[in-house]
Amino acid sequence: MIIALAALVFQTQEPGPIVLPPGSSPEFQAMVYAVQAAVDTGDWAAAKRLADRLPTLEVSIQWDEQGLTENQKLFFRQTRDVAVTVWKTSFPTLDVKFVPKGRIKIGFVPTLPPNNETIGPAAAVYLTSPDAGDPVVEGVWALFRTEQKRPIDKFEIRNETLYAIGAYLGLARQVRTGNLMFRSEEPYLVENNITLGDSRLAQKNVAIADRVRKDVAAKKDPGIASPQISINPAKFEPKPVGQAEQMLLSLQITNQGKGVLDYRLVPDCGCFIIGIYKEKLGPGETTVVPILINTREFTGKLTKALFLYSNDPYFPIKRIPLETTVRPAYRFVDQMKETSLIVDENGAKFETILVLDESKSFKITKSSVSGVSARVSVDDKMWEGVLDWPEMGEGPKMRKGYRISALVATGIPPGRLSMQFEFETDDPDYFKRIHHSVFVQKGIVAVPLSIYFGSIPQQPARASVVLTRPGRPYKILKVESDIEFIKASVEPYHPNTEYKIVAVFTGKAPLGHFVSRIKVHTDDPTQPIVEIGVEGTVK
Amino acid sequence: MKPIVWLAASIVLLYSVTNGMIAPERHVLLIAGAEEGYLSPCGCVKPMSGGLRRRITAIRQLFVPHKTTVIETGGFVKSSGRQDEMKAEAIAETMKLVNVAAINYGLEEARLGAGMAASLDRLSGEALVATGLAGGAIPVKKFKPSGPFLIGGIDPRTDQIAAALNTKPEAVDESVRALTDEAKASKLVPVLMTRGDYESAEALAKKHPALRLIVCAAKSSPYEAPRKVGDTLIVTPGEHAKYVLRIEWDGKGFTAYRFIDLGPEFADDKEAQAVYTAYLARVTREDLLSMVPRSDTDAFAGSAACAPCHAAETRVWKDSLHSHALATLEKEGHDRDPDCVQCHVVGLRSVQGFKSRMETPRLSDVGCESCHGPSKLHSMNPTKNKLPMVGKESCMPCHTTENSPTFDFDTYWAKIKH
Repeated sequence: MIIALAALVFQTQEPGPIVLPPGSSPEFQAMVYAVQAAVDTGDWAAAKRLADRLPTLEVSIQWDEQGLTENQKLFFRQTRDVAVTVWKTSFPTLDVKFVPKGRIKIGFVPTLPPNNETIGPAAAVYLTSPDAGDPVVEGVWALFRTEQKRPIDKFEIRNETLYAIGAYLGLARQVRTGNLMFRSEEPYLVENNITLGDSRLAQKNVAIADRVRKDVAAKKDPGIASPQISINPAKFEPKPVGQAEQMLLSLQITNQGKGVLDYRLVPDCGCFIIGIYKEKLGPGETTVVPILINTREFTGKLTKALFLYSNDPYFPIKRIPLETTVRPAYRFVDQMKETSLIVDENGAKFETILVLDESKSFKITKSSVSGVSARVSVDDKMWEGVLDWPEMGEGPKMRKGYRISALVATGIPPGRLSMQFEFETDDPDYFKRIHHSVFVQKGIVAVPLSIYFGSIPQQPARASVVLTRPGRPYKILKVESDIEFIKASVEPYHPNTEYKIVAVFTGKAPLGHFVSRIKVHTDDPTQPIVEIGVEGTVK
Repeated sequence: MKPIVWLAASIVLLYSVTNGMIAPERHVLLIAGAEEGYLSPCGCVKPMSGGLRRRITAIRQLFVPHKTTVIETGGFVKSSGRQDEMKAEAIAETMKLVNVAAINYGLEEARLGAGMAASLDRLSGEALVATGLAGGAIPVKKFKPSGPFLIGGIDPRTDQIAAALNTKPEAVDESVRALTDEAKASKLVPVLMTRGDYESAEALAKKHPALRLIVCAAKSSPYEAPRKVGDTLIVTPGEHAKYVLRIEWDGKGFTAYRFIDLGPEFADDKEAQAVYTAYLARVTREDLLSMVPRSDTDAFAGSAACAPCHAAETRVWKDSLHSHALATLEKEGHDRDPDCVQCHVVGLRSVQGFKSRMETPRLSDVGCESCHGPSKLHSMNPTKNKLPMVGKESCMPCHTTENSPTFDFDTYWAKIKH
């Protein structure tokens, strides 16, 4: 009873002109417009014949099991029935039946020839026909796929079944994986699913088909007119702006056709903030969609796109590219040769320049440092100098900013630490707080910090780290491993400042994870032993 | 003839003509890269895309044995701390699972030090290439042959690499010329990975027309279609490890270009999962969470301290996902990963802030002070210590497009309006 009521609701026609929804397939749209063309010429018989090919709630499937073994028949039926259940869960009024002669026909062949999409044999082929004696959709599925002749998988049976029913219901093929209308000629062992949007679209298509049939049966002109979309601009190329500055764009959409244009805008990036827009445009109607680009979090050269899905049969999908540059508001240019700041017994002095983009002029009002014990100061006078900016493709040029110094205390432990600067500024908005970090190295340090074998078989393997203390020579006296299946040794790397510590896994270890240590004895009395962790998983 | 019969006949004809005639030189090239430290969706918000585990699943599905080459453009990490070392090692190890042929070694990896180059090369199955650096202090190859390709890699930021490795890289043009000369001599197809952007790739294509494919870096999703400069195609795997590109060499040129968006429909690969689990275990074992640099701030009170005066607001908070944000991470196994935890607790970057659920239980989860700031003084004397009004900007540090792709202030605010 409930299902019957629901069916009634789904079949109820929306008043007003018929508007094909965006996302419906080109074949479905072509068939609807073909009905209208027949009506326009007064050929009611042809109009009825074509209208009868449009989808209904009754989905009859001819499941042609020729060529299948008994085991395959059972397995294929079970898997196919799961897909039918998925459809019925999303679209409860759909009545799917398996019959000797149906509107969908599924057949099987051992293999298919290649097509343009694949390196090897195709996985399936789908045909649609306007002729009354043929199935509306016919799918031919390959039992063996790819060049390796891999047997069809349960995922593929499920996905192809979902797809075949979707194609019958007038849904267009999709490029996004996971969508019920995504299919691939290559191995694609992912479970596709039906979204609420998909099922709504299918329901809309069936409702439209019902209305067209009803009008044609009553010899009433369904009045289906095709929209024609026109957009301006075809590509967004706004001028570069500074970070956090407003970049407001407009997209003008005009319907130059005779039917109602239904469309939706989908960005490929969170940097688009699309304003409220009118989703349906009547013939001759135009609208302007406001679009804001988030220039706070997206800087540098941006190459993004906005996708416009519509019911214009000639342009169901339009891509509107965005190419622009958002200039970062600031950058730090560290005044040091090494990648880490080397700290000795006298501590260390660090300098960096906070270089501001020409569009920015905020001042530092407070500065602090964390991670290591250090004192930070900012020059009162603004720094000016010539610098290039390779990331923005800019050569040397006069720039301004602030010189920042930090005195790192002597009492930090040996190792590598992150020194984090936090600056408060007088910027009223986004740059109230800015951060910068630098690595500080004290004493002899292993790079990377531990030896990681990863997942290894019970066979000999070798791995290493570099023990480093740039600019301050030292000697290694001895290396030793605390576990018998790891042998440790030392090799020179850079004269007297860097050594390679090599760990050889003998292969004679139990299965599972191991963690051990290598002790490196040095001639530095302040750091006589450096310990290096060793780990891995024997599989 | 009825269309369906005609089509069926065409299939039979096409099959008989092409069966067994697939050109042996056809070869698939799968391209991944640009991780920038992004190993996995946190699992906190759905749907997020990308991640190593899904990527390996996708590559395995697209892999045609003996006819596929996998390359990786590098850019493993953004910084050079301990966690970055672990991330880089995990990425290298997962790429070995799919027999990656070449990984472009550039500035981001060089900043991790020469010792790390050896580790990454070993873990990836000796896949590192740096056309302008080989023969120097680090164990990378100039280029690598794989299938019909000779693959090279460059990074135009040669000065910074020189500083990081204390070495002298070749000029970019010399490196590219070495690649095209070698490819010509060995009758292979020169493929170049570069950390430069499209403009620099375009300039290289004009200067070195023998290059057949350039894979560049871009702050975008992959291009809808490859861009063409003369006979050279330019493509990009996009950003944040969210895509895999597939393109095919047919003996004369590149064709059949596609990109695969690594959405949640891709199940996690089991072997990649093991590597990722090992990575999380290392992060936990070395207790990187306790090593997060912290700055001094005012003291936090914890959300419970707000309840007596702000009962209605507390009810809203308790019913929101914010009030059990840490549990969400615990369920996903990301609760000791500083990358994730900072947005699921109160004050991770403060000496007064969250340390662990045991030590600072009142600061677990996203609480009142995550947005309103440290409020101990306010809780002790509310009239004297008023808190500033906060707005949309307090959401943005965590609800970035990366972590919270569907974030829209109005929709989300409606869920926690107070």
